[in-house]
Amino acid sequence: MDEHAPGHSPPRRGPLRLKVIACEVLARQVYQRAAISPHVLDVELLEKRLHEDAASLRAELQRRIDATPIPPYDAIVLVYGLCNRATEGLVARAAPLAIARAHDCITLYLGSRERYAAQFQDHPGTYYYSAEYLERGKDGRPVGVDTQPAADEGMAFGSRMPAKYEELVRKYGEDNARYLAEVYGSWHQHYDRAAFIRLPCARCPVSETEDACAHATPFRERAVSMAARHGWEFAELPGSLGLLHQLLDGEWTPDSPERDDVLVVPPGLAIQATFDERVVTAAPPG
Amino acid sequence: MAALAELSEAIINGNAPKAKEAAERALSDGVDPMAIVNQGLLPGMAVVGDRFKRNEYYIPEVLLSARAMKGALALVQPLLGATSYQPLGTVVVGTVKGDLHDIGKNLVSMMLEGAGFKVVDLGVDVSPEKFIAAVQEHSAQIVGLSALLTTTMVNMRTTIDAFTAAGVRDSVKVIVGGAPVTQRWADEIGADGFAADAASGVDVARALLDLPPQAALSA
Repeated sequence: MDEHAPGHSPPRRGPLRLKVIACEVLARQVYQRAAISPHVLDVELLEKRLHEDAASLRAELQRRIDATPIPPYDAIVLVYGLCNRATEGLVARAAPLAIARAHDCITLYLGSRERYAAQFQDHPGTYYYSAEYLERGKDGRPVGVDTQPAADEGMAFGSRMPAKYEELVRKYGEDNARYLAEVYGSWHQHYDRAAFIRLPCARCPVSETEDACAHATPFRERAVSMAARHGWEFAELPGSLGLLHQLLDGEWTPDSPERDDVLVVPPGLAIQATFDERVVTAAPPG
Repeated sequence: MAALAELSEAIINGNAPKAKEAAERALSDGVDPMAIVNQGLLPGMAVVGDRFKRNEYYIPEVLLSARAMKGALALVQPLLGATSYQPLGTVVVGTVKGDLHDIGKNLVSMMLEGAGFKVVDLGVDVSPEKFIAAVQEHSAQIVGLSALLTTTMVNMRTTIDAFTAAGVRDSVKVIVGGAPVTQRWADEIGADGFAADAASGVDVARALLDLPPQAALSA
């Protein structure tokens, strides 16, 4: 851990008090690591459905950042990616913000920018799934073995239907509703792969997590059936928690060199998208 | 002309069967195909665009109106060659390399057609070379680049740079759009225009060709 603990002068050693604001899609792994982090972590979770509107998500995140008292917190850790620019513009107030250089949660699941870039390069038409993502239903209810999740519960918010089919029929008539369903579902044809990312299970001992465990298997099977339904190939990708652990263990440096996988935004600056390998940088707001 | 008013009305209401019926009636009544486009299709879509800008219509309504317009246009288009009809310009559109999303791009294509442009739609995952070839083949005045992902937005810059490297950047105007795209990004990569949504795509295209804005219609 860098001896120059961010947000403090003069530099001090010792554990930090970190506020972690995390998307619920990595809740189990965040809690698991928070429990053993060398620092003192307090975790707030936000629902994944907030991604449906980037401006609303940004506003909520800034509200949570602004409500974090500094001190006692030394820094705020965001377990998010750029998330379609929802986190762009977030301003670090009295304490630094730490965020992974990631376009979205898939990078956090895969463990590195490089791995995500390689997957994206080789398989752009991939729809990603994970047990952790799927077990939290769209309506906020847990999704268990006997529960049917909503259709297409993968990690994407690009082309959701504007309303339930029955509602569309009521509003626009059968013919038009069918057309809208076709248009909003047309992206299926452009995708060709479902990828299930298998993270080390938070509930299983390490030695049992070589294959999908009993906790992950039902969700893996849902991804398999989605793939079959759409005529996609299916791939299982081993995930890695290295990047997430780096975030939660405070393994970051205030000056955030580009090679570092975590960006630290100093007080007064904001997150800005770079559209290159850095993914994000710290810049004056506005 | 009742059929033309009914055609506009059907388009505004997103009624594809009625729009087709009105277009057929107009044709069998001997109405000039150009008039069907200029006095039936275009005014209908202009109202739709206007309502969208005023947040009275949203994407589903625009999709349905565009569908109605396309159905009617399909009847009339084969007959336009025999007239003196000239599109306002030719626009090549596509989603950039690595990006497979096209709802927004398809909507912009339909809005541009509904505004009197000729549209060449290259689909998704389009390489810079394919954009350049299409612009040259069709002598397009405008190329529209769409991206839905922050990971693929960089390919808008790559595409514009490719136009420059090929020595043809000055021959075409570039408009960029898509959910994560902003004016700032458009400026940064040297695009000529930025469309925040499908309706403004039409306005930007018209402005880039020095055409006056479409008169706001109330209906």
